Amino acid sequence: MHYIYLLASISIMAALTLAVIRVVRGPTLFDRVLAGNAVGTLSILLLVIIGFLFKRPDWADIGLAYALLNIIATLAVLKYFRYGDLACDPCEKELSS
Amino acid sequence: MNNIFGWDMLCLAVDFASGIFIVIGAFFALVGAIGVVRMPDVFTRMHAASVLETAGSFFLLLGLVLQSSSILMAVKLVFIMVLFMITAPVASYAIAQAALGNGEKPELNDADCENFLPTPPFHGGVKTRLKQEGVE
Repeated sequence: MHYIYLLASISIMAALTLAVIRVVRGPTLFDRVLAGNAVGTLSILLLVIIGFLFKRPDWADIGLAYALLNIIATLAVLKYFRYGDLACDPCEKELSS
Repeated sequence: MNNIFGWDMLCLAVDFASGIFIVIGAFFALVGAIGVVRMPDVFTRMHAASVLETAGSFFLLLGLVLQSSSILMAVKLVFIMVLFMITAPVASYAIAQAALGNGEKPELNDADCENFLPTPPFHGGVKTRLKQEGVE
């Protein structure tokens, strides 16, 4: 199983490199947000795999917390760039405009 | 292999299945990342990233669940899996709606397909709102 963990972690690191390339090169903001979300997901998977590789699988707790933070960060960035304000209520603003 | 229907055979079968699942998950993660780099458009890149976040993480964490030594660790990994299954479509939906609201158009082969794009009024973004108010 050791070699399978190594194979999976190496391919996930290659995928992380490709996603970081898209973050740097992305023409629009939404490409960057999308690739940043993918980087978060891949880093959680890499963390869990390396925890199993080093026989300390308790690192999955950190992965769980980081998954929660990842979705909150993505939604916050998207809401800020869509409404220009993090504290606005979209439904109320839609009715008033 | 003296007891072929016993514990050794079961452990071997579980190792084999989890190895196959981990390799499939790593393959999907790599393919999704290649798609994120090579696709031409925000919306098609979103398709590739969805493959990465649902199929890749599902198979990889399923293989790790079969390898975990305690019930608690298996339950934590299943929690991460369920969390990805819920949050990845939500993030894709939010990205698509924000991109459409800020005036991103998908690349189309046929000009007639423009009629099928969603038109405002959906929740407009900052740019469309500024245009409506005459600022820009």
